[in-house]
Amino acid sequence: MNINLVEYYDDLCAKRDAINEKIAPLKAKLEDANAREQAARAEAMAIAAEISEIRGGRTYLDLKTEIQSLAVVASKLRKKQAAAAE
Amino acid sequence: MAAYNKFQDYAEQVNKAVHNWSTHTFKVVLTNTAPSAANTILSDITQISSGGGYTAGAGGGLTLDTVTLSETSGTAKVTIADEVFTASASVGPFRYTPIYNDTATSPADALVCWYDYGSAVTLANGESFTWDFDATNGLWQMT
Repeated sequence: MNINLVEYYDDLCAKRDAINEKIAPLKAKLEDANAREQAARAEAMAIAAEISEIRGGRTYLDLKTEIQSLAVVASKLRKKQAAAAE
Repeated sequence: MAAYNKFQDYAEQVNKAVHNWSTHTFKVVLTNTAPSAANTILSDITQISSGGGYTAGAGGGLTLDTVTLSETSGTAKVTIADEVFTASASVGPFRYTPIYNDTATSPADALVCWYDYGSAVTLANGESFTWDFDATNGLWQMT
């Protein structure tokens, strides 16, 4: 009985090894694809940082806040101007 | 105050690196048809027609140009500066404003969340609509 169990265990290990052998080339391809993805991500991060630098961080947020606070008033003034022009 | 709703698939896609809040372009679209939490991509959303400064269709919507990902004490947070859209002709009606990732390709244009404004909004020429995003809690957090 014990001998059968050991044989069964060896059989499972052999199946596992066969699967791993079969996927080995795919794993290599996956590593390569992941490396390219990481490189592209690093490039994207660098570009994003450049964009952020040009915006000036807090300055850009302040600009948008000012736009938001004036938007409603500007809308109303535009409508009045349009009505006056007609 | 608009009600926040999450698309369920977002929880999976964010953990597959489909979303990168530091580099990807996220957009907000307008619809008057209630989204479903089971929706996954932009084409699941019935957008309003193009016009008045609004562009519908694939890649459509308004770009959220100030998206910030930060991390403090193990909690990641995404905050977005308020966005203002000014109509150049009548726009709407719309009640829901889903947000999606315009950079994501697999799945393409993956959905993130949507806001429900409770009732339909129609903008006349020159009128503005502001997305008042939560500056404290952000759009989304991961702990």
